[in-house]
Amino acid sequence: MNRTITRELLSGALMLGLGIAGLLHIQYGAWRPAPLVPSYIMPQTAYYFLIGSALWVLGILGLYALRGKVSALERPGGDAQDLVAVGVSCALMLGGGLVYFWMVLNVGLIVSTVLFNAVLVAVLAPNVSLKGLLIVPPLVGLAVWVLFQRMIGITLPPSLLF
Amino acid sequence: MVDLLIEASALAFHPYVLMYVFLGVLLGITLGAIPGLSGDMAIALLLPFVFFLEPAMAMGLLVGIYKGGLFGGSIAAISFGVPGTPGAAATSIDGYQAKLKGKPSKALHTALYSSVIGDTTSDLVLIFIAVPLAAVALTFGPIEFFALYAFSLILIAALSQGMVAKGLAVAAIGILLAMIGRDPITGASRLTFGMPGLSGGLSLIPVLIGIFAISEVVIQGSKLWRRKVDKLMDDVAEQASLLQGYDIRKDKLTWPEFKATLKATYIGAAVGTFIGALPGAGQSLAAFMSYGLAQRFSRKPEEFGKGSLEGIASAESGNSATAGSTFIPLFAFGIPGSATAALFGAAFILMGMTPGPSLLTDNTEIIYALFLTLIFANLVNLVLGKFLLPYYSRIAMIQPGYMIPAVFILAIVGTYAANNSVVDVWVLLFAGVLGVTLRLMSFPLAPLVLGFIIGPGAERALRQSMIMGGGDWSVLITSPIAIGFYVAAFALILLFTLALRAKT
Repeated sequence: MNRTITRELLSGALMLGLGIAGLLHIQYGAWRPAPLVPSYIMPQTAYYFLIGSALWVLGILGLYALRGKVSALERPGGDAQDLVAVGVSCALMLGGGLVYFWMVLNVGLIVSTVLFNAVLVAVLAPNVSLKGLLIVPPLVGLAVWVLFQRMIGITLPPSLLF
Repeated sequence: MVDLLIEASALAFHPYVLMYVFLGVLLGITLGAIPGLSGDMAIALLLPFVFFLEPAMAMGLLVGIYKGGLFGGSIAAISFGVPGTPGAAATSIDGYQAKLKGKPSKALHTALYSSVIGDTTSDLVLIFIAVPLAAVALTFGPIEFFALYAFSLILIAALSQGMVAKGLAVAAIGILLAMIGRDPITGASRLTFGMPGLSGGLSLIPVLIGIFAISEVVIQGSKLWRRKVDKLMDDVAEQASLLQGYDIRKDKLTWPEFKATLKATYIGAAVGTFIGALPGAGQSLAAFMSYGLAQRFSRKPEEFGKGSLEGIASAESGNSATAGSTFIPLFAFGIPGSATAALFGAAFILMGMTPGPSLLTDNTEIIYALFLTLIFANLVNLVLGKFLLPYYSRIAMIQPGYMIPAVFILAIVGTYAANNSVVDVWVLLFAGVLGVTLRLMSFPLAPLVLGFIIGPGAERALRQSMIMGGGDWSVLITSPIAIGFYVAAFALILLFTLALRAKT
């Protein structure tokens, strides 16, 4: 299936799913009653907009598909993303971010920063040199120490190292 | 007004404030010149630091970054044909061609001067328009305010890269994120799904940094991982080698050449100022519209696209002229009309100031000092640009592979530092995932941020209006001002849809 069609179908499904789930939550969830204007009035309006927008996106997609002009839905200058690379980057950075912050709380801010920065540079920087890998992470650790511990003085729970 | 400006000058020209403006401009130009990193991202990352600075210093730093970032985007656009920021895309059309013809210095100086002229024009309009508009806004009731919020949301959603439905959908998602936490009227928890950490609502900082900075960093990280950047770096090195043996003395912008670009600069300044004041229209649209109009009124339209200095001047002036006027809706009505204005609105909130008509009356000295800082930052931009221009084009050669990990770590630690809250870090990472997902599906991000920021205000206005009308929705169209806003929204959408079609 064409990449644009897949993207627009997924977008429409996401909006529609979120809108319907939200309305079901309003219908069957526990909402505290309020006089005249219920407390869900704004979320409800937002859910209606989501459903309306989803129908709009899917309707336009159907119209263009029937006319055989799906390519017209491409955004000018829109960069087709490499989904595998985005997945790897998400896992490495956002998953790694979870691990990194857990380490900050338990192992120590500076040690965790140097280690995490070294891992990210080693995996992400093209043509990374050993010199760069040995110099940059400690520099970032030093910058974090100066900025956050010396200048701002952030409060962190006691940790194993520093 | 002059008296107030004189009173605020002691604050605006305090040595520390001036130092932060210098630092901000330098940082903004540096980040703006690196493709993938922008002034907006730098502002988002620095929001946690706003807590630890005096308001005037914090504003000096943020304004400096903003102004520097606007010009910095043109450096990569002219030097390597890669716009450092989306707003600099139009500048790259003629800028890169001029550089290939051996005129990089002329092109960069034209961009610098036109950027400063456009920016200053826009700042002056802001100073003289925002105050009277804010006085009008003070007479608004909930019905008018709801119409204004709806006007802004519809407009910013509709004008976001021409994707009306997706723009409206993400604005709705932004509103829903803002609804998480306690209901302001009943006090009951909403949309927290049993998680006590969410009962206080989502903080601005993690949502903004996650949506803007983290998602961008992850996307850039994916490009690095696939070594797509190799080609870019090779191109950069190749372009840098082209500059070897180049004699800058033969490439100085002369007075007649500068004079010839003034008409295009003024066109850009006028168009950019107007477009910037409209919620959602953005720098990119302003730059392209200025470019198109300048070509139409040029004596040498055939040179556009082939390295025309007029082309560079109009695009850069139009792009930069949105800088001041984009704050008009924020100062007058409390509505951030652009991503940058949303970030500044967040900074105001963090400093205990509420964006809107009362901002000017409650914080007169700070706001007038900010006005002066806006103008002063242009001067700093001009001076730094003039003296450091030969070195700036090398900035774009800093390896993103070393920058991206550092930016990511600063975002995480900075978010934690703002409130010493672990929940904020988890919200940041969640917002990052949401931002990446929305980017992959080609959703615009600015409406989400606008929805998140104005969601609580819009809800308050809607519920107050409905209570006034006894639960009847028709109360929303009982005010002539409100009707005027709804009509204006649809008229502007129509106008800009036609303009966008003409552009493409």
